[in-house]
Amino acid sequence: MLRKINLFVDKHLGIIFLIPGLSVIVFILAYPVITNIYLSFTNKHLIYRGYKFVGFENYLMILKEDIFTTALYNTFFFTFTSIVLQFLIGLITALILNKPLKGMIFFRLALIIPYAFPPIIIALLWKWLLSKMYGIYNFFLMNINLIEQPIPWLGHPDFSMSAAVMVNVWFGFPLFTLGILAGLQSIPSEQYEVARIEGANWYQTFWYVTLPNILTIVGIIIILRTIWVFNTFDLVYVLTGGGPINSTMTLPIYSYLVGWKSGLLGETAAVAIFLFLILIVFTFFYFRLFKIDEDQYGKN
Amino acid sequence: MEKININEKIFYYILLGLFSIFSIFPLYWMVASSIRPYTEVYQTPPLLFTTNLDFSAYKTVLTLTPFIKMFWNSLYISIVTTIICTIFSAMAGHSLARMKFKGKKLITRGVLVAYIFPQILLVLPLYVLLVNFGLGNSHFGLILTYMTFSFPFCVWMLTAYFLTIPEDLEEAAYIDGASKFRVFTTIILPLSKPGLAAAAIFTFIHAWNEFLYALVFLNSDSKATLAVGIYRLMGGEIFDWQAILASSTMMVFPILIIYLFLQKYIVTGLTAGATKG
Repeated sequence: MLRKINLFVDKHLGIIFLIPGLSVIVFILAYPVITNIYLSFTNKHLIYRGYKFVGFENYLMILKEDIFTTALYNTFFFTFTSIVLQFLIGLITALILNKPLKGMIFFRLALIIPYAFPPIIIALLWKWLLSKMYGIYNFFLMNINLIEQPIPWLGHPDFSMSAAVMVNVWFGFPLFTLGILAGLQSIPSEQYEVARIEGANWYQTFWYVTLPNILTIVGIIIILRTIWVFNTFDLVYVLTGGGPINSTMTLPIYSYLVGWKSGLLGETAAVAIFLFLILIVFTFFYFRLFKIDEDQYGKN
Repeated sequence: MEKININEKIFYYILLGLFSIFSIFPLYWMVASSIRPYTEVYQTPPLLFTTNLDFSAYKTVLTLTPFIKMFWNSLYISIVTTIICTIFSAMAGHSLARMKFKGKKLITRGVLVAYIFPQILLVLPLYVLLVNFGLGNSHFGLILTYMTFSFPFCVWMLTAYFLTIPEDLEEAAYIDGASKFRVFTTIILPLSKPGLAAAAIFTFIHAWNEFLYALVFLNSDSKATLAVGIYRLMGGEIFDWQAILASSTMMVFPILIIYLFLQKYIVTGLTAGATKG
């Protein structure tokens, strides 16, 4: 009997190993998602009982709202500028860290520090750094005569989005630095040797040797960061709360406010599903662009 | 080896120096503001360096707020999440990397899709679900929900990592009559220590840092995690920047130590899929 059980387990280990993880995931993912899709077609409220089916009304409603359009634009702006700047700083720092220079270990440690910060602490700390009254950055900028009087970085709609992007860039660039550096270190030195013998200049070497070798890792990090930044809630919520005057209102914050403050469950579900659909399109597009899907799992 | 002339060297060091100041200064200022006399904190112009150290903000936080209780809550939740998630995702990752069965591709894709689900999309229905199952305001419920993020990511990472292990070793063990389970525990797991470490570190840090779920699902102060506790400190009646900076410093340090000493595993995890070639 025991032998039979052992044989059975051995034969179906592939499935058995998937059961614990997948059952948790189905319980905490599939159910909420299906509930959400269903709710997005109803007018259910957080507190009031009873609701009815309203079709696409929630979707049409949010599309007509100005705040939704603003939030959509802000989310794209926040994600795009953050990722571009993080990538550029990550690339520059990784290229220099890869040079045979002294003290690179120290600089590498210094450069990854922001990534160790919890988002909530980042938000609180930068509120302190950028504060109009006591902020040290205003003091620095006034000292070098860049500004004449303290700027309310987080309290004025003209500056708040730039400030939020800056904070996010500070937090996220180290992941690019570390990843690109690992990619650079895995490039065989013969490839550079060949480029040198062929008489390639700095630009050609970078374009034909360095770039193709780091493309996959850069692709993976861009995908991961895009998903994370697009879904960012805590950082911006604590930093600015979406204000002032909705200047930093992003889709996750909008969805949260509609759901928890206004109690409109149907509408908040519709916003969240909208967000999710955009992410699916994004991810699909990226995976095609960098051919990551096929590389990793296609051969199975 | 490429030759770098002196001008280039100076240029590189200046660039790195500037970026390092950019990245380190907030940490310095957080710590520096928390260990000086209260009056110096709000002084204009601010003092860049202080000569008289004063740790009274730490004393305030540790004695007047439930900081220690919340610290243990965070630690307990993070450790349990890490253990469960690492074991479950190692099993699932092994299955996806090695076993052959119908629907594998579908599950692999499904795991990736699960990873991109926005937290904000799940938070309301998860809240209702937890309350219905009697898991509202409980640490166990919160731990379960942390799997929504950590499990797909760790499976993705570990599957890629397991694929880098050559199959010859396992073939030899199978010929000797070893069972699949034995091969997993005695060959795969020991060879995957860096990948497992990476998965564990990611899960731990995510659980330690997580804010939204902890804010929504745990509504009693005695169960709160550090992230929520510090946030509530800000909205509390005594709004004191120094207390916030002191508690922030104490929350960041465990993670900072993990990063500085274990950063090679973090890179391992990220690059497992990418540098497989």
